Amino acid sequence: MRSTFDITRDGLTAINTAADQLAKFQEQLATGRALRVPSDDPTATARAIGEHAELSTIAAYTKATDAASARQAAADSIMSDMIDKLTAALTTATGAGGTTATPATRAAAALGLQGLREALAGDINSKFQGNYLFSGSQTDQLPYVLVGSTWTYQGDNTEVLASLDGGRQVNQTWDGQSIFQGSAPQDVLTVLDNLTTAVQAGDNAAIKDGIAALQDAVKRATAAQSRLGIDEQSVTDAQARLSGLRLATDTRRSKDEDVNMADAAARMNQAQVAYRAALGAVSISNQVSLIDYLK
Amino acid sequence: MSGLFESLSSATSALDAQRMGLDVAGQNLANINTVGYTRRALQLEERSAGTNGPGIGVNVVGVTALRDQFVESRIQIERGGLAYDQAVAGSLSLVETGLGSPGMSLDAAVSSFFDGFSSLAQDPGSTANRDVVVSRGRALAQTFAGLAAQFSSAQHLADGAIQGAVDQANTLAAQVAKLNGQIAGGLHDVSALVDQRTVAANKLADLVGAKITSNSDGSIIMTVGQGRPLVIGNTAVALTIGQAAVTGLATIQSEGVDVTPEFTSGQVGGWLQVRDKLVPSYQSQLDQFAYDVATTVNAIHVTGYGVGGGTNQNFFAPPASVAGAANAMALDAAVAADSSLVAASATGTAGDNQTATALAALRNVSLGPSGSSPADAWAQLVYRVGADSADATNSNTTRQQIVDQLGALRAAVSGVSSDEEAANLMKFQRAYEANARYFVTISQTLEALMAMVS
Repeated sequence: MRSTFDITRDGLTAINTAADQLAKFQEQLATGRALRVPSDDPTATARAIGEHAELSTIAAYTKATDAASARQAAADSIMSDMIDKLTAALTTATGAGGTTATPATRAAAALGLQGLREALAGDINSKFQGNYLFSGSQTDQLPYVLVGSTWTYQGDNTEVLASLDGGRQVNQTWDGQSIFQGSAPQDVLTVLDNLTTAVQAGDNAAIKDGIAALQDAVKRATAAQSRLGIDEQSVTDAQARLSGLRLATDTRRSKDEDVNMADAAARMNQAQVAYRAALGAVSISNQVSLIDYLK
Repeated sequence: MSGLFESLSSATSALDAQRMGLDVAGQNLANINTVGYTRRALQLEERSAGTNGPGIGVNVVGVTALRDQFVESRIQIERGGLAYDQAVAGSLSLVETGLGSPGMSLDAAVSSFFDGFSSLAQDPGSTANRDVVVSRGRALAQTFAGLAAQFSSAQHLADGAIQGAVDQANTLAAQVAKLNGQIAGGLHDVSALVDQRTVAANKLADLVGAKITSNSDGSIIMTVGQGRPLVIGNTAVALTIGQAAVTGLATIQSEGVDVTPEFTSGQVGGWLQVRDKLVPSYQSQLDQFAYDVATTVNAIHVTGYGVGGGTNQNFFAPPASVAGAANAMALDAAVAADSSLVAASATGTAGDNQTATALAALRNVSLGPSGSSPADAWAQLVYRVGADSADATNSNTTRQQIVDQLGALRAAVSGVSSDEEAANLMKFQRAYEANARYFVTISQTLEALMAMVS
């Protein structure tokens, strides 16, 4: 077969092919990305989109989990304060009851109880990031207000939930009425007000009833805090799980999307050699010709 | 006496023949870079003296163009396929570039949109969070519309290219027809005309996948599609451009008949494939995706309550139909103007976040009849474009190799080799020198003879 050398057909094609490869690996090394366009690897690109979506979901859950964690920490602290105050009120009321308490003791106890009630009302009406924590879904309403001489719950019984990963939900707000009154005839603030009055009056029967009601209130608050503790543990678990998931997902994404630097560097060197070889081959093919020997 | 003069005549014919050999080599070298040039070879035959004697020189039979018709035909067929693949690959490379990288395109806009509802669920009363949701919803709608515009642009680019190619094809067909006439009626060497016609025919194969049938008079018939005439003898049948009623895109007509779907080869075939099949299918997938997002979000949003307690409010302007949903996607005008209408609550209370939570959860659920999550829907579209582009590129590479191989085969027969022509130059130069020497020898012999008689 006759063999003819056409620099356009044979030479430039070889040079362009080698140059394309060289440019591809150079770009991979420069950008760190293995996928330039979907056609580089359609399957890997589709997988990478899925992994990005997964990372985005994990980030959203992480944000929600972190927000829930902060809110729970605030609520936990408030509940601890409330339990402390209720316990102090119990101690004060117990000391003011019975036959040994003097009028002065009762008056001091009544003042103490009044202060504790005011502080407790402040706790119950706490806000987190501008929203009331204990008014259910009525987060713009003060949970308890004193209307005349009556404490009124202004919230509702719908607790707002935050969604964590895997369909788990934790409280974002709490139903104040179920914590501070429950099935009792009176809410804890009214109980404290009545107890104060009973202490001032030295009404031991009423003091006894008030102490019993306070004990129930402590039980409810403690139970609520226990539930909160379980939720906090769920959030902590979710944070750890999400962190692990993020790492695993990002590793998968990286395998599809990021270039293996060592491999790309080696391939670029190969492409560079091929490019030089193509240039050299064309150059050599063009150097020698029988025409050079014509005299 | 007469023998010596015959010898001189023989030498003269030989000198003429060898000089012509030098001319042919020179012509070949002159056209070594001429596209479509077919190398020429000098055909010589011995000038016979009859029954006695060594002969009386050499005759130049002619100059032959060396071509392999089978290879030429094969090249024309493959070139049509190659041009088709190149047109598809080239167009799709633009389309896929517009899709962006994973995590930085529509998928990011979708994630960001649902992130907005997720943040709103954490603080349903926040005006800032509502503004973010509106802003991201607008960005999502714009991203959908932007992609739809890119697909539409790809369609119109292909459409413009088709119209340009048809114009070019008509010019080339007229050129082939004219050359046909000259070749068929040619009384002289028509090799150069055949070369020119081959170049034009190859370009027609590239453009419209034209097929060739040879006639006995040397002319060719060129057809496109399902045997539609393009060139018959010295007559070119012009293709005309029409306009599709609904889409407004170009149609190709031959003798008044719409033959657009018949173009399945050449650049026009490739661009038609992109314009009428591939891009519309991507567009349709994108429209379905946009429609599913808009209708699913709206279906939940209308059940929720905004800040003022209003309900039954769409978030996106309800799409009229699946077709065109991506391009038309937009926020509901009322929501766009007032973010307090964004529904986060399912009960109407300020702190309830059930609607926002349900909307945020859409990121992971199947939307619409496709049964795909938003990320899956996008991944499927990107995969399809990428796979189509990769297929076209691979097919293009394979076809290019075939055409290159055929080119090498053609070059083996018809290509000019500078080495070979250099050898020919030497060969004819030496032959010329030898014949000149022979001529001088005969001339000197004649002189000697004349001296004897004078």
